Amino acid sequence: MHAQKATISGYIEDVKSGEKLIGATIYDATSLKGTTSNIYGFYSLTLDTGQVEFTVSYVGYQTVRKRIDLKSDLFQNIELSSDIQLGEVEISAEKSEKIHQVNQMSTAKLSMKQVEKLPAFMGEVDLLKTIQLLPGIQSGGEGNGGLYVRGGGPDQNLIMLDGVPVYNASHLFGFFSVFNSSAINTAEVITGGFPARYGGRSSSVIDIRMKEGNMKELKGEASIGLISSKFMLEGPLWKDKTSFVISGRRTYIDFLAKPLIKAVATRNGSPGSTMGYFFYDLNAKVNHKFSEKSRLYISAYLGDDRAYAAIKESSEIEKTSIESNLGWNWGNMITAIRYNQIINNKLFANFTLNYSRYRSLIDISYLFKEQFTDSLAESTFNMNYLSGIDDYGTNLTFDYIPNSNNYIKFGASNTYHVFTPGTNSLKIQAGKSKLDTTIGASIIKANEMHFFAEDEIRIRSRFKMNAGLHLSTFKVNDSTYENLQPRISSSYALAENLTLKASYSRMAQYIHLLTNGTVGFPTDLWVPVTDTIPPIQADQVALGLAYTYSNKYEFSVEGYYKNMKNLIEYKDGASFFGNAKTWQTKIEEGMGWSYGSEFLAKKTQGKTTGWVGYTLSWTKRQFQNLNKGFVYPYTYDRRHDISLAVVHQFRTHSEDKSGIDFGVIWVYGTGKAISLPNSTYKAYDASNYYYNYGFYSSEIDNYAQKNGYRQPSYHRLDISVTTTKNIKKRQRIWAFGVYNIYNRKNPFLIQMAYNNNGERVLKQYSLFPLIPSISYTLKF
Amino acid sequence: MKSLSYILILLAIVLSSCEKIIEIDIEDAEVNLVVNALFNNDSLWKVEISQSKHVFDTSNIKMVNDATVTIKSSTGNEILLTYDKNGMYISQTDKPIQGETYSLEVLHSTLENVNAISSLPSPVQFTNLELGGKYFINGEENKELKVNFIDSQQEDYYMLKCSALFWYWEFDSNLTVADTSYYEASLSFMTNSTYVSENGLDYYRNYILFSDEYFNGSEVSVNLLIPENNFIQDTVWGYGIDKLYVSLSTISKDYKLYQTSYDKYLSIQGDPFAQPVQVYTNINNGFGIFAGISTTKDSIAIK
Repeated sequence: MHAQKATISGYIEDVKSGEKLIGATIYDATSLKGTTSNIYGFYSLTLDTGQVEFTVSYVGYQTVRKRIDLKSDLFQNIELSSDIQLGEVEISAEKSEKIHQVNQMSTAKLSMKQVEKLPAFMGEVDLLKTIQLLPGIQSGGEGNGGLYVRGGGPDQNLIMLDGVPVYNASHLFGFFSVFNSSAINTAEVITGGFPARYGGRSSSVIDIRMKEGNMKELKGEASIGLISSKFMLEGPLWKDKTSFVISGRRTYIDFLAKPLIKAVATRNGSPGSTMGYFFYDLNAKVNHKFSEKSRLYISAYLGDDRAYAAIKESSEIEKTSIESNLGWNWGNMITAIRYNQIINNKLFANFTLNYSRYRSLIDISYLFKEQFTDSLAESTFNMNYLSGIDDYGTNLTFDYIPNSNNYIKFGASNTYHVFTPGTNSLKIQAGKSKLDTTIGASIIKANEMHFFAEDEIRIRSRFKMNAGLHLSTFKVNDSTYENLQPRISSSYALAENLTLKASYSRMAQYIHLLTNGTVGFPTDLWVPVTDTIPPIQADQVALGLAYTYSNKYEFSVEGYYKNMKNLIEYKDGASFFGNAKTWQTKIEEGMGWSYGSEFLAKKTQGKTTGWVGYTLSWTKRQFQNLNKGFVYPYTYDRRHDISLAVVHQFRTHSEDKSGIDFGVIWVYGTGKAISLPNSTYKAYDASNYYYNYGFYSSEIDNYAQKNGYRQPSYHRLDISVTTTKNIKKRQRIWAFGVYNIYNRKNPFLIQMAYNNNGERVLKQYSLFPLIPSISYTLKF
Repeated sequence: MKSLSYILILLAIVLSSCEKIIEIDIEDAEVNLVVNALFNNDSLWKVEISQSKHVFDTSNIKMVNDATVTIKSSTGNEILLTYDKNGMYISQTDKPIQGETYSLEVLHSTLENVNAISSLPSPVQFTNLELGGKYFINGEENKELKVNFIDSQQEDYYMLKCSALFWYWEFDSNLTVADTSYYEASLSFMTNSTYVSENGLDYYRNYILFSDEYFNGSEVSVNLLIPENNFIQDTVWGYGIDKLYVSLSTISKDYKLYQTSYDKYLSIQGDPFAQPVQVYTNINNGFGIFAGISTTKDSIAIK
């Protein structure tokens, strides 16, 4: 005889703010069945009727236990409180999902609370920088904000803000990420065993969710740092119905440097000259509850980098003046409207409309004036360089939870891309002659569609599996590409706290980023696949073990092998400032592969928390027309990569939870692979020839092997001290930090040069010496 | 846009002021023989032999004077070159023959022997040279020069150059015109014929290198765009242009690859962010170029 079933469903929320809790665990101690809340905080659990011992837990929150006599379907919102005494932390987090309980492998969830306590570069708390500390994820080295995941390039990461792809995730050539930490709720990073719901990039998924806004009361924070200030304000517009959150950040190096620049300009005889740089970002979100079962979210992000220089020079004697201006402006704009509907207690739907834009505009102008006795002659020159991408997307997804052994997700999305791969417009006026013209690549339009279905299945109590299919299509010009991508990941509990995990996934990617890879220039260009350049396809298998010890320590070891097809690289001699129209002629197509193992040891509770990660990996590339067709190491092939991130809570007042936290980061990475010449020889003596370039070198440096040498290794130590004081309802935080405390000169650029004795040497340029920082934050 | 790159480099340096000389162990590269020889049917054989050096070695390139240099034709004819001077090895009477394939062998007592192979391609004749109308590039006026020739059925590679014979008056001490003198100088040009330039219009250059990929076996017309200011005829100060020379060389694929990669190599000197270039060589076990080149030159008078 079958027992009667009933479903408990609802949202899990923070009791104080009404903020949805993503990934909270719901567990029935009677039947030993459980589930987790989805990215909108919704859960659904179908159980046998009768006595249910219901436990809901979430890291950092007090666990809620309920005894329910379950007779029929029940809609039950559950509120959790983060108001816990330190002593209770261990108890409260006891039932949170541990690494060995999660089926998904190669994944990490980051809590912003921890991110905020770690040392930050120039005092700017940076989510992407923290993500780089996880095993399997590498930074590009000094001054490079790109993420290099398991042998993939920086364009192969699906970085999403509230589900919308972000194209340019960094400010100032990659030194800072575009995400203002005070606007972020959670972040999840996946580097392998991808669930079928994700698609469009081949190496990783970084799913960042913004705060929704406090439904109960007005809250906020303001922070002043060394280079920037930021604020965040959230609260109800209509209590328990509508809430908002708004946050902003702006740097002020330009204001601070203004007097200095002015002084230098005056001394150099061009007092009107100036230059500067700043970036800002703004996040806003409004969240409205139509009913318990339907909600609307409207969110927006706007961020820009701006650099400008103006040079004014005049000559009294010659009666001339020259004024030249240079401006760059680049950044993202993202807007999304999302609608959630609980259709029934087992079916949850989300519909999204979004617009995402990345744009880079370079503007150069020049004005020359000459005063004659009877007239004034003027000539002007104005050049614009515009590149970017515009995305218009729709997305419909469903979560269907038929019973406690299956969690099905399915959906479809469509994105219409408009690529502007670099157009120059030129205006010249000299006397009466005029020129006004636009040159460059024409706009490319493309349409990308995704369909997916996945099921997280509990086959037996020890054996879980997530199996799914992802189908994507991309139509550009006259070509249509299709890619069916199987995804499977499974876990088997070998012992109570020890789980074996295995996964296979195929990922396809239809867009490429043309980047010089050294620094993130605003001229980096997103381009689609074309008739001749097919999509990237990456197949990855991974095998791992996850172990939890004493509920406090988590250990994982994973091995992976990844094969990548249709990668692109710049041709020999390609420079990054040429005409964008010709980008297709500057690249080569080839393949790559990567394999390695990653180790992670993590302490999740207690006074000292943090992790140490180690990655041992090999990444290779092979291109028919590069390195004479031979295999060569990828620029970011990194044999050893170590990161340590630890926060220690020194003392805490039990009454008001004031305290001091000490944070340490240490990173080490094998040097980047670089090409260096090893011998020099005489060029053909073409003295009878005319040279195409203004100079002529009679000697040729021979690069025997592409990426055949290594830069010195990258390592540095950062520390921070954060003091938190709670005064009634306010909290003030002083954060002091030192970046690169032992002043390691890490390589940014290595060049052949000559020293003072005329000898040839290798010169290394580095960017960041020891940099102290300080910031003050007030939360209310 | 190149100025941007300099600004960025400057920025990097300003930001850093963290410059230091480092040591990366560049293993002692083997010293190899370097051969540089372009041959044609008008001249005797001339092969220059030098040796490579370690990249940090700033001493002058060493020329090789003790090598044994032999050329063998596909018909079995063997020519032993004799050492002349400055690393140059020459033939006494033999000249390369069009259509013939030659292999070069250089033997040396201490350095690794090298060899190479190349043919002397047949020249092509112009079918027409004609000055056309005006063509504006970014507001600058250019004169069109149409160069027509018939491509052969084989896979061909070309180098096209243009020069001009200029005239000027020589004045005597009384400032009256004593004589008219002439000199030849190369001209830079662009082309809007996309089948010979993968990038289309980009910048003025003194020669273009192209293959017959897009017009194999047919008559082709290459449009050269020469800045108008070259065509000034000044009868007050007495200078101007007399005629244009066009020279079209049929070259081997090896030479095209060598010259193209060497041009690229030169173009990125000083740009630390550009991808390094591995310059092509067809010398086995060594460096340099051994290639045949056949040139046709013709002129067109300027009225």
